[in-house]
Amino acid sequence: MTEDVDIEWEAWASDDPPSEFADQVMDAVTGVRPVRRSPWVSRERASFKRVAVLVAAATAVVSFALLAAVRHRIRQPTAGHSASSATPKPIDGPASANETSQAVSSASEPRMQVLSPGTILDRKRRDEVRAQIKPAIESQGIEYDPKTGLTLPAGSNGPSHNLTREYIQARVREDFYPLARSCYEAALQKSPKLHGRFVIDFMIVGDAKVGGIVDQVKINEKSDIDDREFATCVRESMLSMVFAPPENDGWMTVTYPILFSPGDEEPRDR
Amino acid sequence: MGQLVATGVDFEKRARAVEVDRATLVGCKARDPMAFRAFVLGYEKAVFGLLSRMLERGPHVQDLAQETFLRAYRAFPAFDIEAAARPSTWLLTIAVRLAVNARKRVARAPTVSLFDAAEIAHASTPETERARRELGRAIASAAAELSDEQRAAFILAQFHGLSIIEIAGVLEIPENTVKTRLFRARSHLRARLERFAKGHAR
Repeated sequence: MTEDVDIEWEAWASDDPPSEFADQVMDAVTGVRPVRRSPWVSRERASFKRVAVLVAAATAVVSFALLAAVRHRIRQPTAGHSASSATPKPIDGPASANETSQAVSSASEPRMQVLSPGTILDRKRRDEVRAQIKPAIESQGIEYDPKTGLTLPAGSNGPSHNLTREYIQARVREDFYPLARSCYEAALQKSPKLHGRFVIDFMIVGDAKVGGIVDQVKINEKSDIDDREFATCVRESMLSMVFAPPENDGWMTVTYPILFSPGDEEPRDR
Repeated sequence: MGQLVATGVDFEKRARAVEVDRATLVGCKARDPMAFRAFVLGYEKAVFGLLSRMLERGPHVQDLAQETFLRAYRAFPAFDIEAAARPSTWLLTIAVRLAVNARKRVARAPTVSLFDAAEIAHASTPETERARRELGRAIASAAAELSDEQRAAFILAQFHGLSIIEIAGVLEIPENTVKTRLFRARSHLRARLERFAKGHAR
């Protein structure tokens, strides 16, 4: 075979570094991000400034600890028993918080934790989040049952459009693929030649204070894989995903087709 | 960006990373954070390109890219600025070794390929873009059948513009072995992609 073949090799796509990659590397190599020094500031001045900042920070920490200790001592005689047992702990507070920080934390309100994209939710946590999202959804006059999900009324505000195709694709590839791959590997144990396509319809709902979760997942009829267990695994995996919340506490529907094929199998022309 | 020919690669015409300047390298040797940041920015795209073609695309690429730069940072004091080796070749050597080691680890687990057509909510895809994506998948699939050394040699030559001598240095093999591996890699890709290229790329 001596004939030359014209190939646009650049079609072989590669990943691009995220915009913050250099900063992540710098965090890893130095522990802190480099501070861009003005050319007018000499190294000696920069060192002096660094020492001054450290001294100020140390002073602040000592003052804070003293203040906390004083507050702790003021409370102790009036409690009648152990101050630590009488101090309410924040619901989401760190488990390893020491007594001083608990005393300080008790003065603040328990905070609602915002889910970050990339989180994988188990079923229990998902139900909790659904319950947290409920008020925001219902404030728009949309019926929402945390058990069954959203019921979209005719003439509702309409879908959100802040989540781009690229964003959803990146999240699905990073977070959903490992889960789907596990589902597929389990399915291959039963049917080693199993391959085909799942077209997944899902809805993202959310609240800016909580995050965006997948509320409903349906395997579209365009799918050509007939394996109920595999479908359930894929569906449950998609339900555990977390996205950025759609704008205006809204919702968004997505149709996402995914091809599954064993590793060594070539795509074939028909 | 035009069509490239799979045989008779002219190395000098291949795009390669623009090297960082000497002052940056001197700063990196002295562990200056700003200089090293400039170094990362200068080569991050090349490292991501190499790793995501050597391995599959995915989040592991970023992890390995970070590891590549971490190793470079640690090894910089020993890097000889005056030597003939270009910084990009030196860095790609680190990346190739990490990729080959990663593939050896992964090879023990069963492999499953999983492609998405990425058709999201009423988004229409132009036919040409779809054909290009199919071609990209076909290249990746055919390249996945090459040995690690053949694939590395091909990627370094085709996408990073390294010469035979430089590839021999990166892979620590004789120049004639590089030529053999490149020939076999191209023959394989040509055979696998010929039908596809005639049907889609032209």
